[in-house]
Amino acid sequence: MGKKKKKRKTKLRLLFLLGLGVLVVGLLYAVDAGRQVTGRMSGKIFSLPSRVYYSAPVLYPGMPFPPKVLKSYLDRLGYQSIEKGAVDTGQYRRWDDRIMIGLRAFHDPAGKNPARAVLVRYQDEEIRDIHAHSQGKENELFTLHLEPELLGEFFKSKREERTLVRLDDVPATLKEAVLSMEDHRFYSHWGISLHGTLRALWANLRGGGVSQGGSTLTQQLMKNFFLTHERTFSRKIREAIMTLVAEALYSKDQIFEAYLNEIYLGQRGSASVHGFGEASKFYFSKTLQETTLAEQALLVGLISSPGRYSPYRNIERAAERRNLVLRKLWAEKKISEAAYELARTEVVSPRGRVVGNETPAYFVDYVRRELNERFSDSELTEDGLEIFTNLDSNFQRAAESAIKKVIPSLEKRISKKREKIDSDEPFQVALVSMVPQTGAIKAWVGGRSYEKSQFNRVVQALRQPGSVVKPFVYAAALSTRKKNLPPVATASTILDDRATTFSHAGRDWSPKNYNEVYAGEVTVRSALERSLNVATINLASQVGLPRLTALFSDSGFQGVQALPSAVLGSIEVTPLMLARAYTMFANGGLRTEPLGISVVIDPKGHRLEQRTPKVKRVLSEDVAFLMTYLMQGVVDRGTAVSARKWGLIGDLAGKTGTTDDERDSWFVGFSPTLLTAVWVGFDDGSTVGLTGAGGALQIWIQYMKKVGQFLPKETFHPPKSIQFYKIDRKRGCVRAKGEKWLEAFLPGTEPAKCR
Amino acid sequence: MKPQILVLLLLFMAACQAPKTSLTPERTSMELLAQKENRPRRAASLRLVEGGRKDLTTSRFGQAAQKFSQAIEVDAGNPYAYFYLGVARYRTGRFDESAEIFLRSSNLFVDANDWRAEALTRRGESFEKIGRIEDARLAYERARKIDFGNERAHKGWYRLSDQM
Repeated sequence: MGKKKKKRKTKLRLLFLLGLGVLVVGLLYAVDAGRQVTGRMSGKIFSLPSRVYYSAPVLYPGMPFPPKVLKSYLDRLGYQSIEKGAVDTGQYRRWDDRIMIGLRAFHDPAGKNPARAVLVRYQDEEIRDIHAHSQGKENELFTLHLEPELLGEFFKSKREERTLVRLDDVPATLKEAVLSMEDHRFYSHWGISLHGTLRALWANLRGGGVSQGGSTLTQQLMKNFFLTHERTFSRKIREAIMTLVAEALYSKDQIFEAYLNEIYLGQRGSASVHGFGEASKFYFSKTLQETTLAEQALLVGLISSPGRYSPYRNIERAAERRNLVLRKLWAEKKISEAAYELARTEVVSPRGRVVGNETPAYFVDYVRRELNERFSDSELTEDGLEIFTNLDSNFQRAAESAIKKVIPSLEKRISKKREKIDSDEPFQVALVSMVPQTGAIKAWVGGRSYEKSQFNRVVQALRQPGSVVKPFVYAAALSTRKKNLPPVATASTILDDRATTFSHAGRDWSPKNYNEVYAGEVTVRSALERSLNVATINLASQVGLPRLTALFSDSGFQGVQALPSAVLGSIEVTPLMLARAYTMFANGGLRTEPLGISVVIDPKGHRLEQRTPKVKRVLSEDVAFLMTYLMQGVVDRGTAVSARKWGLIGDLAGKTGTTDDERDSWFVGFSPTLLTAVWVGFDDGSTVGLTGAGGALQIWIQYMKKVGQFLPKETFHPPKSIQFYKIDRKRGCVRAKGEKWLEAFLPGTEPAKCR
Repeated sequence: MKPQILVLLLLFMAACQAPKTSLTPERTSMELLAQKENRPRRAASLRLVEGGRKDLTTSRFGQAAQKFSQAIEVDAGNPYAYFYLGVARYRTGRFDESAEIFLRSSNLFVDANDWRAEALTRRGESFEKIGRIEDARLAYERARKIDFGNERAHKGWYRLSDQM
């Protein structure tokens, strides 16, 4: 008896210890789960990728912005083109000379812009007028900001796109639909629905496996946050514990809001679409508040299988699923019969899907590098920043397409010279285009393929510039010296251009002209237009190396050594450095810093960073004009004359550049409002076999032909002090009769009359 | 001479002696200028300047500068855009830049001597802030020559001439 009692006591003790052990393990498990849940649910619940935007066009009456360009811009934004009837938000209609747009609400660096209908009327390729339409009233607009186009995103490891919504901002019908379809007892159960679990359990037992889920919204949320989608009982137990913890620690509204923002609702390329805020944009180009009942029902219908019920995949199936949701709402008396009938018959019309939008990845890389000076990687990938840049999608597309167009002909020419070329890699291209007055970067191509090489040549390729640095030599020569001494030369000064041996620091140097052709005596203008090396060195020797290196340094070229070869471009520069330096010619002597980023805004609308033009005086306005006037000659008659032959019109200036053995082909060109630097060459410095005119210039010509439609018809205005004289082009003296040329001079520097 | 005539004469002389400018850039509406403008690009640019001017009054200098830049991009020859960009730079203490931007603005005011002189006066004030006194005096002097009615230019010029 005593033995039995003792045995029983031991059994009880063991059971007690086992129970205690289970309890402790359970408690520890719950504590761990609680820690995980609070870690996720407190503070920042979601990682939001930062979004990078192009600059958006500001339309105004009289603006050259052809209707086909506006139409294609709206297409890229995902606006839906309709043939007839009134336009809804996110749609547009083009007929006769006008385009009616149902603009969506959006915000840009200028502030919030409401959703509204606007009518843009055209006169040929120019905008005639713009009117906003609201409640039958018409209101004339003098400027219209368009929605900015998405350029790229900075993701964390997972590529999840999400637009957060607050529960209060979610339409009541959508909330009802979610609860009705997914968990109608959500506000009454304590996280786990016994009814739902038993139903699923019974179905699973009958099926001999785990095939059906009876998950509540909280369970689904916990599963999405922490667990895999594997259907096992151990995963279910962990999910249940986490669900109980979440329900104990957070309110139902908090959990519901998190669910509405977390749920997976589709796929945009390699990025997944999460939450209803993002899904309404993705499927309908609308904010969640702007969606109709039918659209909300369609979104809710996606929850169980976004791929299967996607309207992009199968409209009929999506409509059937939507109608099931609507029927349930009506049956539960959440919507009236009239609303049900109306929604049920609404045509499913998802917006035009935005596909094939190539990201200018080199520019995005540059932006990220710039932002990394102030923001950490986690801030850029998790904080949902909105980064507005100055890149213009029309200019960017023009640059990419110009390069694509010119590459085959360059390849042909390069292959003809193949014996001289010892590189197996394809030749590379870089282009950067900016507004000289503000520094706004409008287009950026860092190479031929980002997939194959991430080397961003616009900022990373340090190359010899060849003759594109000559204008800096001429600018120094044309500038007034210290103590009011007159300039070393004017545009009509005669220079010696004969094969010469120069001596510097005890060493002889015999530079050659291109093709070893010498002009004898030439004017400064002619020497620059024809890019004559020897004449330029003669001019440089009159200026003096210290003055030249000082100007090179003020122009932003780094580490320039006081060597005579520097005047022929033996220094090293990137395309961006060159573009920046040339702004001083196009911007009245002020050097402008390039500006890729405009504004960085956080999700609450706070401006975290704002970049505005930065300028520095390098040349006087007079000399900047003289130089521009000289470089107009390069395009009109000189080494870049093929630009005119290709039909480019208007005021244009620029300079070609070719380095020794034709390793680099350069062109920097500008109109009064757009400056562009182009480089062509091999990364390893092999001979590319192209001159500046034969390579880079050809790309610039095609680019300018494409962007010409957006550029205002401006001219280079001479400052008041500039004086013009009629000059004998060969002798450089003032001439009243015969062949003459109108040359520009600083006051008092004009040449004598011809004898 | 009759006393009434003497008084009138004295009043006339006093008016000539004390130059007064009617130009008040802080109060000049760009919207009104835009309405009178028949070049659409200039009109749009002026309206963007007007937006930036409003930001200036609420000390949102960064936002203002951005609108002025946008106005310059729409119309690179709009002297008002440069003028107010200069003001934004001046008010954020970037005096070397404001001096240069005011010069650019002044050179673009081809047909408006009062504005041209005002821009030069502001250039002078920018130079004064960074201690370039001779450059400042020259800027005031040029402004006085262009528009004798610009009181600030006179004051600046006298102030610096006394110092020198």
